[in-house]
Formats: sequence, C-alpha cells, structure tokens
Amino acid sequence: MNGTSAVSVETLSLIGAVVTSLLAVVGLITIGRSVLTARRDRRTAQARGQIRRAFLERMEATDPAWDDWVTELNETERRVAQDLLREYLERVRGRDRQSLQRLGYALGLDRRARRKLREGDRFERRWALNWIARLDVDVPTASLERTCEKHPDASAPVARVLYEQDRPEAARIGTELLLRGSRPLSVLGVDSLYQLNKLSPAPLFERATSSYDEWSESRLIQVLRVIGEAGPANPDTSLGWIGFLFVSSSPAVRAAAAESLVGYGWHEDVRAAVDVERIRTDESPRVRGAIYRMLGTWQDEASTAALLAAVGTETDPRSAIDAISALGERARDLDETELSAASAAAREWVLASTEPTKTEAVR
Amino acid sequence: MHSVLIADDDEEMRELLTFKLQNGYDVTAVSDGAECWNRLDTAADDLPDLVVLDVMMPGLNGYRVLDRMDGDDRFDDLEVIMLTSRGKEDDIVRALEAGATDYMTKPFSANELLARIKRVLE
Amino acid sequence: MTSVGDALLLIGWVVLGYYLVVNGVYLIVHIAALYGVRTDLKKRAAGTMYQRFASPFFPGVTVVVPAYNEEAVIVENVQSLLNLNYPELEIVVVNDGSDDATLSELRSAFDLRRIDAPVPFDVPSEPIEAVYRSDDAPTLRVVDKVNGGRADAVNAGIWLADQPLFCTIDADSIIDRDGLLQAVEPFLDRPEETVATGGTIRVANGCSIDNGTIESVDLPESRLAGLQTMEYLRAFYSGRLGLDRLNALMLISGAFGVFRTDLVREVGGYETASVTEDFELTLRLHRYLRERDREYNVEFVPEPVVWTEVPESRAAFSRQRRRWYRGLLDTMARHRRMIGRRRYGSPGVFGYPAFLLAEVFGPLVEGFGYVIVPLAFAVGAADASFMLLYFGLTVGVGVLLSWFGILSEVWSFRRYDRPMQVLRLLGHGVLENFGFRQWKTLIAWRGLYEYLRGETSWGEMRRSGFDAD
Repeated sequence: MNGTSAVSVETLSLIGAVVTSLLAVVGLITIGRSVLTARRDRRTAQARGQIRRAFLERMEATDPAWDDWVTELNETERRVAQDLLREYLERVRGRDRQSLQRLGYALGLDRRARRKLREGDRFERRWALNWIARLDVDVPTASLERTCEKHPDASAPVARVLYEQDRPEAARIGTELLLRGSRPLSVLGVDSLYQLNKLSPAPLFERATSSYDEWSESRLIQVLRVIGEAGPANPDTSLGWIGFLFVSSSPAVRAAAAESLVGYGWHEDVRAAVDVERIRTDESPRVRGAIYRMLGTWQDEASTAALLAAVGTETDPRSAIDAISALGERARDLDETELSAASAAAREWVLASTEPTKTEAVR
Repeated sequence: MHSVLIADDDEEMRELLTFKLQNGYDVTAVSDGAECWNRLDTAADDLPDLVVLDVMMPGLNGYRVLDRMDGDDRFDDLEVIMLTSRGKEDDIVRALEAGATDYMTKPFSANELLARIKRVLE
Repeated sequence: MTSVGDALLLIGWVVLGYYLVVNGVYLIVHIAALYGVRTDLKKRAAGTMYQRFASPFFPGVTVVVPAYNEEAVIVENVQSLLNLNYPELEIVVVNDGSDDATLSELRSAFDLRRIDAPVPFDVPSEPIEAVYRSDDAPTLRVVDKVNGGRADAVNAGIWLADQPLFCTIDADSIIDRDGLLQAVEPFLDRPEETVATGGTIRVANGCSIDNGTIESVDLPESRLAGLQTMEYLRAFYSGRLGLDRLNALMLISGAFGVFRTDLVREVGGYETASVTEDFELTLRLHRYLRERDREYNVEFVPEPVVWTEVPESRAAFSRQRRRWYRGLLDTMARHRRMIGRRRYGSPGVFGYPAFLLAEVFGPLVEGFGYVIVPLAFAVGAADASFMLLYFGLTVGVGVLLSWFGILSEVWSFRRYDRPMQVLRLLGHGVLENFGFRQWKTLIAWRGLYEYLRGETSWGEMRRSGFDAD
C-alpha cells in the first residue's frame, strides 16, 4: 500500500461529485419549494379579505351570478374561493348553503368530484364523496353502490352521502352498505350508521337480528353501541337476541350488550330475555359494571332490588362505583351494614366527588 | 340600536356573523373567552344587549364564561345565545342550566339565528 | 508499515462501512417519510364528513400531566390544555410530591377543592394523598401524591382516568390547539385496532407563547437549541414518520402520545424502573399484543405538534442525552427476545435490529472512528485520501439526511414557513456535523459507562418558564 493512496483520486472525485450533487438537488428543492409556497401563502392571504367580502355579498344576493364572478377570478383567487366555500359549507345551513352550493358548481367542483370518484385513489374518492355530499351532487344511488362494490373503503363515505342528501331509502341502502363484509367500521361508519337509523332504526334491527351471529366481535360491539344510542325501538321490534349475548364467552360482548340496553327497560322483549338476577353476578367486573349502569336506567323495582343486592356483595372497587352511581340518591341513605367493604368505600368516594361545585350550589 | 357581542375563536365565524348582523345591530367581535369575560366584567355599565357565545375557545371556554355570569346579578338582563358545534344533549342542558337564553348548533342557519335574536331582544 | 497501522486502517474501513450501512437504512426511512407525507396531505385534503363535536362515538380523552417542581410553568400549561379544541376532554394533573409551590399555584389558579374521601381502588403508584377537583374548570382534577418519578406519576393519572383514551404530555410542553383532534385520527379510522398514536415533537425555545398558545413559530437564538431544532425535525418528525410507514414505529414519546386506557392498565402501566419509560412502554405494547396475536395499530401522526423546551446549557443537554442512552440500552436489553423474530413482525424483524445498529451501536462506532482514523493517520497507516474520504462521506451523508428531514417539513405542514427559517435550518444541518455530532458520540460512550456502572438517576432539567411576549 506504500506509495499509493488508499483511495484513488478518480474514486474520491467521483464520490465527491455524487455526494455534492445529491446535496445540491435536495438543498435546491427544499429552498425552492419553501420560497414558492411562502409566496403562494402571501398571495392567498392578500386575496382572502377581498374575496371573502365579494363572497359574502353574493351569498346574500337573490341572484348571486356565481358564474360571472368565477370567470373574473385568477388562479389564486379561485383557490381562495374554493377554500372559503369548503369552510363556509361546514358552518352554514339553510338558504345560504343552497346559494353556496351553486358556487361549487360554478367552480366546477361537481365535475371534478365525479371524475375523481371514477378515477381517483382511496383518498381522492373520499375527497370526491365529501364534495358530492357538500354540494348535493346528484350521482345516481346505483352508481354509488357500484363504487362501493369495487372499493369497499368507499362504503362509509357513500352511506354518509345518502344520509346527508336525505335520499329515498337512505337508511336501508346505507345500512346495507355499511354492514357488508365483517370488518369493523371507522368512526365515520359508526356515526353514519347511527345517523341513518336514529329516527327509525328498523333497517338496523332487521339486519342485526338476521346476521349478528356471523359478525366479528368488534363489528358486533360497534352495532350494539349504535343500538344503545339510537333507541328507543318500536315496542314490536325483536330485541330478544341481545338477551342471548349475555351468555357470550366474551366479556367485551356481554358488556356491550348491557350498554346497548341502557334505557330499554320498558321493552317487554328485553325484560323477558334478560334474567336480571343471573346476569348481575357475572364473573367479569367490567361486565357487572356495565350491567349496573344498565339497571340504573331501568328504574323499576326488580332492577333496584338487583342493585341493592349487588352493593351488598360487590368486591370489585370499580364495579362498586358503578353500582353506587347507578343507585343515585338512593345510595346516600343506605345503612353501612347493607354495603360490602368495596361499596362502602365507593359510596364515600362517589358522594364526595359529586358534591355540587360552588357555582352549582348558588344555582 | 341593540348591541351584540360575538365571542368565537373561529375567524370565519366572526366574519360571517358580523356580516349578517351589521345591518341591524351594533356588532363587536372577540376571539377568546377571557377577552369576552374581560369586556363584560369591566364594562358592566355599558353591557351589550346580547352575546352570541361559542363554547370551545381559548382563555376561557363558553361554559366557564356562563358560569361566571351566572352568579353575578350585573348580568341578569344580558341575553346569551350559544352557538357551538357541540350538539350533544348534555352540552345543551349544561348551557341552558347555566343561564343561556337559547342554544344553536353549528352548522347553523343565519336566518334562524337572526329570528331568534330578534325575538329575544324585543 | 506496521501491523498495528494495518489494523488501525482496517478498523477505519470497517467503521466507515458500518456508518454507510446505518445511514443507508436511515436514507430508506427518510424516503419512506416523503411517501408518508404525500398520503397524509391527501388524507387531510379529503376532509371529515361528520360533525365531530356532535357525534356520540367520538372517543373521550384524559390528558395526564405529571408535574414535579413545575411551579414556573404549571398554570400556563394547564390553561393551554383547557384551551384544547376537543369534544370530550378531561385533565388530570399529577403533582409528584413537588417541594415547590406547584400544588398551591394550581390551587389558587383553578379554585381546587379536595375530594373528601380516599380513592376506593388500588392505584399502582406511590400513595395518593388527595385528589382535588376544580370549581372553575369542571373537567380538571389534580392528584397529589408522594414522589415516585415520572412513570409513577403518570400511572396514578392513568388509573384515575375516566376516558377510554389517555394522552400524556410533559408539564413544560404545549400542544397545538387542534393537536389532540389530529392525534386521535387513527383511533377514528380504525377504532378497534388502534392502541397508541404519537405526534411530532418540536422545539419551543424561540417560539413566542401567549396564554398557553403558540403565537408564532421561530428558531431559537441559542446555538445548542438551534441544533436540537434541526435534530428534532430529522429524528422526531421525518425519522418517525418513515419508521411508521415501514410499520416499525418503536417509540411514542411521553411528551405527546395517546393510548388506550384499558390496554395500558392491562399491561401494568409505565415501568417505574426505566429512565425512558415511554420507549419501554411502546416496545412492551408491541410485544404484548404480538404475543397474543392481537391485530393492532400503533401509528405516528405527523401533523399534530407538541412544543417542548429543550436544554440550552451543555451540562443539562449532556445529562438528558446520557439518560436517554442509558434508557435505550436498558429497554433494548429488557426486550432483547424481540430481535429478528418473525412473531414480532416488523418491529422485531426490522425495527429492533435497525435501532440496535443505528441508535445503540451507531454513536459508539462513530465515536470510535473519530479516535481510530486520526490515529491511523498519525502513525502513517492512513493517508490523506482516506482521511478525506472518511470525513467527506460522514459529513456529506450526515448533511444529506438532515436536509431530507427539512425537505419533508417544507413539503408538508410547514411550521417553519419563512424561507429564511428554512435556510437557517439547512445551515444547522451542516453545522451539526462539526462538533455537535462528535460530542454526542462522546455522550453516548459516557452513557454506556454509566449504564455499566448501574446508574439510574433521571437527571433533572431546570425550567425557566415560558416567555410571555
């Protein structure tokens, strides 16, 4: 190695050139991009006030003539107008909303949404469906359903579109779309299922009664949560199947079953299917807690008796808190001898924590 | 002319409400709850007739502003319309119990808000 | 040419080769981050289709704030949490036996009232002396407990939390107002599978803060803090985003992470014997869930930011980094069975080995190189061309990686939005290669020495309080 260098000059310069040019590329792109975006931000900020004024005035006008306005705008101004449109559609409803929706058409957003729904990827489809909902774009329901067949990820946004646009049969079709397959839903999916069913939950109950035993555990729990929020069901709705869930081997399902029946104490089907005395001694503290919360809302003799029995025996401190809270004011007057040690400690804690605050006391 | 104070942290809401109310009312807008409370607290002899109050705001949230007004007889005649994106039953009950006159959820209809303001102030 | 000289030169080549392999891995990570940025931007553009503040299915969050001697910042911090834009929020501050006025500051600022009963369930922490609730802010509770360290304090908060998710944050940090809304995104997309998410951590020094909100973002004056700004951008933003896209996110920082409350209770909470309990918990969750074959998702969300105060003095910096390094060694040793095992999936097959190579051995080997290569030159075994190659490549590749981090930033959420700031960051990316990096390798060696000696101290950091401009 003596006399020759470890690395030849050629290699060194080659490596040097590669590293330097990589650095130059990354550095230039970074600076360039930052200058360009800063300039765009500045222009956008400058245009915003003036565009907003015109935007609000036209929104008020009987004939906003959006098309004429849009043709006058340059590229920056159009972008601002689109941003404002999106922001205001999230904030207003009624007459203003209808007027703004027409601006969306003038900006060509309906055409872009239709195109992206056909050609876009997962996120672009979502973008498209969001605008379709906002602008009330009339894409035939059958075509939306076809989109979901091709791309299951579109089901929740499509169901949302059906709900937002208040389409005929929205509840039935939307519920069907959401509950296809067995994967758990996103919060958008769960919320849409709820919104579609909250006034008349018949489609949800029908679907649940027929397929609950095929669903994955997490799907089943999600549907139970929606049922719990959506109630009250029609007295003829069959709810007996929820009673069967109390013998499920999964504590999570048993707890969800109890949560779903919060507020359903009046329902005869439920009363017939639920053996209060048996379920209140469930082996899982978490399930017992949920059952106590459920019984607390039922407010009848049998459930109060069950709760009173429970506070005498409950050993789990957190479940004891649920039982005491479920009894509400009644817990205050119970004699110490009627309470298990856990329930006594829980009562002390619950009463001290719910003492009215100063402002509440004034009221 | 009746005066209206708007408290909302969202700039577009302030712009929109000011635009909608400016023709019939004397409008002021603030962007956080602490500022809203300061304005009410220090100008008790020159109070607005009505506050349009948002809930989620920096400084003090709308509930806390309501709580402070609630125990204070200077604000007995002050009308408060809540205008917020929180739409759950508990939220509405909490605000009405703390003394709000009315409650509207976002997204909202400006015409409806105007009608409610008119009714409250007449 | 002596055989010692040959050996030195050979070691020099091995060190250089090692360095290139490690940084090659990093380069893949940073390129993955650029892809990640692209999807995140598209996702953000798609928007939300439902009313988050009115949905009964939006998960509630308990923010747990451990506070030990934080009288200077605690009130402002709690105020900033009360400002958070979030539908269902509870705040639990845990006063970890402070000897200063932390508790009394809180008491007078928020009208605290003691709950006059003992906590009825077992909390796996040092004894709790009292729990307070606030007359002024009904969603705030304060737990006063005997000192037990950060992990112990957070555990107390987790056991008292009422919401299905909890978020940890340091008392000296400030979350963006919409930060929590963004950080829970993965819990909304995949509510049944997501167990933990983390946001980006950035440097608060230099930013102006008013009433618990970041008013304007700027780079710190101090050179040391400026270098850390660059470093955080590379490691805690671009680096984590990249690892996340490679499904091997190994660390959710205690400074800003959201977790499922029931799961963390199930695994026993934070490990109090660890000095980097956040890293330990993340690895433990991976292990626990993989061993039970549960389908789960741990995700990094680049957009939400927590701003944290970094040390400006060399002594404090060195203390903090030695602790991190000791914690790293300790945690990696605890979970060594993960290495290379297919049953631990991507975290075991890619994440763990990459961490071992890059984070554990990387700085040690690099530091070793700084001694060996000049030595080889001094004894005449290595010539100028080798020196040039060695230092040229290490500096060149180092700058390149840092600049990639800045590129991701410029491409995405642009908190540093002025071209001058970007230019200064690029400058820091160059500067950190002269002195700062070498110093950090020395700190790693010191950390190793302390670890081997069995040192377990935390090393405190003094808080100066936020500048209220």
